Amino acid sequence: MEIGMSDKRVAVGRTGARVAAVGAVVGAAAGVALVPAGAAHANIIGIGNAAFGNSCTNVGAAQSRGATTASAGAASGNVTQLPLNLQRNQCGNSGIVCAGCGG
Amino acid sequence: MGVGVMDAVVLPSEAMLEFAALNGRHLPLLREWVAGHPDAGVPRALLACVEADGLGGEELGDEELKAQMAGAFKAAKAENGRAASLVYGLFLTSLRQHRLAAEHLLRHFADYPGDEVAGLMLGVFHASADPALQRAGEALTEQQYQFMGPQSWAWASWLSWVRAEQCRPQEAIALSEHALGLFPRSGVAVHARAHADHDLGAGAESVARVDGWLAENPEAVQLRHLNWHAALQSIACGDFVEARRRADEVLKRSDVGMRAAANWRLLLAGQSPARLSEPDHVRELLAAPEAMADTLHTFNLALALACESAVEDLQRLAATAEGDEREAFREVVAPVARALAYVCAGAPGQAVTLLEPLGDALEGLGGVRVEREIVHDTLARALAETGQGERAAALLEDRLTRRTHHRYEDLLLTPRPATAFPAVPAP
Repeated sequence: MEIGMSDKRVAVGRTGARVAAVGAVVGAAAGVALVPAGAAHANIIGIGNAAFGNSCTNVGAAQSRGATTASAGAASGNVTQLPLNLQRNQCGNSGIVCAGCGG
Repeated sequence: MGVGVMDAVVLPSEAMLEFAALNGRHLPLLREWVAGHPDAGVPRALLACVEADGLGGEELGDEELKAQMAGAFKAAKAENGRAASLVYGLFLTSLRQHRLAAEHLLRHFADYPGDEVAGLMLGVFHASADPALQRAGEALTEQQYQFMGPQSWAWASWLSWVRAEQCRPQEAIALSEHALGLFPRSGVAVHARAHADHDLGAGAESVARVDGWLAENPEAVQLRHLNWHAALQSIACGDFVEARRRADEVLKRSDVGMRAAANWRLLLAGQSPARLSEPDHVRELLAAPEAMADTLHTFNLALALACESAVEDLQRLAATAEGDEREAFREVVAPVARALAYVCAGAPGQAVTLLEPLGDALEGLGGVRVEREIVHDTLARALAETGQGERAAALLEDRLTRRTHHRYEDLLLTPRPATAFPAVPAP
């Protein structure tokens, strides 16, 4: 069954007027973690390895520390293309206790 | 990008329900969906995100990840602006570019308020380690919940999280109960409740709640983590045998942080620990390039060393952190690691000297309050061991007042001679 998530929900952005929320079932279904049981880390809120702070390091990269301090301008609102030049940060994993808990 | 009506994003309902159920069955469903619907960008990006960390099997290499994301982005752009924006955010999240992802999400929610798919990425705000972005994430969560209204269990669950971390446990509980009333399988709501229960010292009541939910959701993603919370509640009410049993039965070799966080508490309270992490494994993690990648990770390794009274290793770790260019490592991780070494060596007075001035700087350890609280525990115990019981009690006064069960805190304050912590094997 294909369901267009939120295609039944009319949400008005900056005007702030919301009309309906019919897509409750599918919308509700989107709310929790995508990591399977047995994941090494406890990313509780949602996707990605948000278990680690922004000080994660790029292993072997010249700019290993502070790699995630890239300027916001590197990706500022330009969604016409992906910033494929960005590095993927590597992080330690000690079975972090309660990561990704922040909202 | 002004948007009047939220663009549709085609997602597989069954797979998404499996995500929500946290039962690990979502991956084959998502793969099946992606195979059958190559023109849908968001599911492809979601799958790449899951696979990026090796959670779907072998970890995706950087180039393959980027190639998959590029394909998903192209497909999403052909769909609509919302899909493109979601894939953009998923791309940044998959690269663990948490700051950039958080900043993108702020823009995304301005255009697509209440978007529950984007809500899956909320963790990037906390992971950004930027207090301003973390506060922005909390405010955003509250705004989205207000926008969507109480019919959204997902936003109620996420806001429950925020309230729990803000030390507003009653509000967290109300939101959690509301979310679970709408969708009983909300793992986020259950976990938020566990944190609120921790703040309130709910003890056996919380253990029963966790066990009851896990009985209904035995393959839950949070299985081990929620069991860890239950073990802490057993410690809170003085049932140390049960805490050890649970830790030994549930935690895996990779759960170095959770094991250490439980065992250090047991040791501070004068109890035998559960099974310790394998020393070789801890040292392997310490030797890895990622050992100093993240403050909380390094702190967890320090706790694991403390549990085995590895004083020399702790001193070496502290020295490394002192030489680090990052302030949080120099100013927080280093003194904490060195203080742990002093406690292990039976020199609590020197631990007090290092820990007491840290104050709010402890937030530099990262993580959440329940993870950092153990440093206060260590300080309280060190104060008690140096005859400064009143100061120790003052440090824990809020907990003693608020928590129904505080046997653990009582034991921290109990006068005992300062002794080095042996890594006592569990009986």
